[in-house]
Amino acid sequence: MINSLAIDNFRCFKSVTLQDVKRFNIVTGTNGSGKTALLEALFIAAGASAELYIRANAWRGRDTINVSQLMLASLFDDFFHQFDSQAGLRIKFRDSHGDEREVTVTVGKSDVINLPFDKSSESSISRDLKFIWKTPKGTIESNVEVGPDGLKIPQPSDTYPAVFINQFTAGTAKDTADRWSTIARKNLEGPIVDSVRKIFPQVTGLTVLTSGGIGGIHATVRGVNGKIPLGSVSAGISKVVAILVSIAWASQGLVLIDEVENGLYYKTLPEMWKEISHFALEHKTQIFATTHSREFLEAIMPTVDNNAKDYSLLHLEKTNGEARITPFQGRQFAGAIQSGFEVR
Amino acid sequence: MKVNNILPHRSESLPRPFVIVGEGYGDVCFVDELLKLHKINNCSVGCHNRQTERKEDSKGQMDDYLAGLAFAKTRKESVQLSGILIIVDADDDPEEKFKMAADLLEGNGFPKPTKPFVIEVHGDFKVAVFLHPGKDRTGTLEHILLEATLKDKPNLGNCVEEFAKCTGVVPIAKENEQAKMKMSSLVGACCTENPWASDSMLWHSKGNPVPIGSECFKPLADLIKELCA
Repeated sequence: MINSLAIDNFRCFKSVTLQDVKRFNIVTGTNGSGKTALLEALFIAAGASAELYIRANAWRGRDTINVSQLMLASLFDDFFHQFDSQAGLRIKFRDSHGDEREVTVTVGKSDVINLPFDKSSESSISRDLKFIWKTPKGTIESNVEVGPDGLKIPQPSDTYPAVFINQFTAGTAKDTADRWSTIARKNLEGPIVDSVRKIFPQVTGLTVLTSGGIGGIHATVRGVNGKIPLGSVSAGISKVVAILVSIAWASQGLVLIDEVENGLYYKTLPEMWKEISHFALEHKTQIFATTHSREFLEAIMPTVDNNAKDYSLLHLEKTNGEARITPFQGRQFAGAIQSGFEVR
Repeated sequence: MKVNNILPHRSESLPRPFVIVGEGYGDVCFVDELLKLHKINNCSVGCHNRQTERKEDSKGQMDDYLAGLAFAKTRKESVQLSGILIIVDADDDPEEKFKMAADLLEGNGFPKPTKPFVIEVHGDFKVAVFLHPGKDRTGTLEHILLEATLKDKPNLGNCVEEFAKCTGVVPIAKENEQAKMKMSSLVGACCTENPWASDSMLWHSKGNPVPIGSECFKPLADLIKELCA
């Protein structure tokens, strides 16, 4: 479990550190305060490929990269606080075993000239962009190269178990099915089905079925003959299944959930969180969940009360473009909500 | 312009450098009246919110509220918090109630006061605890409200006592309950348009028998003035 984190020069974070990070971290703050950037920082540090950045940007709406118009440095500029790519960036965390994991991204000057890919683009002076992960097992470099076929980014290796769940990834049937299959091979899927039944009594069973060679989770639903693809039953149920499966899959790692309450009926929230909490404790998985919802915060209070030492509220605020994180430990976090203060 | 010293439900930040924390909304409204009377405009007053509060004991509620203050003071919209005064009923054990308040302050990251009824300065932060009805006494807010009322309307004293005896409240009920009953009976009799006015409503009820300018409230008013000076 991560118990300390340092972020330098990444997105809206100029320099922040977090100590005594808990198993359950609820992240609040206004739009644009850096909640998602915090999850991205953890996700990128946990990984081991520059490709993660491309994915993170895709979730933010930059899902098409026109390599022919690419100037490599500018593609990655918003990775850096105030676009200051020369300073490089660093994200570092230490886990409860004392192991450290650090990613640094540096931009070096190069005399290499990027030739245009098509007639409409202009040539530009490129800069080397180096992603370097330092893990307990060694150092991994993942340089971004631009070639005639586009961007070349090495496949990740030696990663810290981490899943990022947001509005785009929650409904990714294949990923969830793949993770389910990994868990099912170890006969560990039963508790997931039990939890889903508790949260959504209409669902009586879950299984992976393939169609056209593509696997997906299907649900047995009370009153319906046959099994239905989970996404067709409900986006909310699909999301909760994705979260529970991810927690089991990323055992002793991280599950990062952006806008955890999205798509879920308010009465579902207390039971859902109870099961997430139970699952995360059982699998020793650490949770970071962002929210804008007071209903969600109030719904999780019974669980927070019972496990206050495992909880932290991370409140983000931005001043002059610089985000800061104020942590509040479980009891204070619960107290603030229950006494009527606004913590979102 | 309407003066609003009371921290609203779902406060995001602290608008003033000093905060007074009461055990309940009755305390809050009483202090609000004192702040208005003495034209103290750099101080807010608040207590736990009954709509969201799930803890039933006063200690847990105040603990939660202080946690909320500790959170709110970190927000960028908040002014720098310079002092806190906690007001609690002494009940039957003033020493125990003071200890409770002092421990809760410390537990939520604020300086811990060493004795009640005085402003203690810790660096640039002031902290104090006031116990109703006052120094070297047991009792509640209602004791002090009752005293102020009967001092102003001494002719009602015997009537209230007789009524309490007739109902059996005196001598059976505990001291605190007797004071609350007597105060309620006075409010019921005087606030003719709203005989059920609570201690939070009575200040705005026609016929309110409690004179906010009473000498009985001077020790608390003086402490508040010193806090906010």
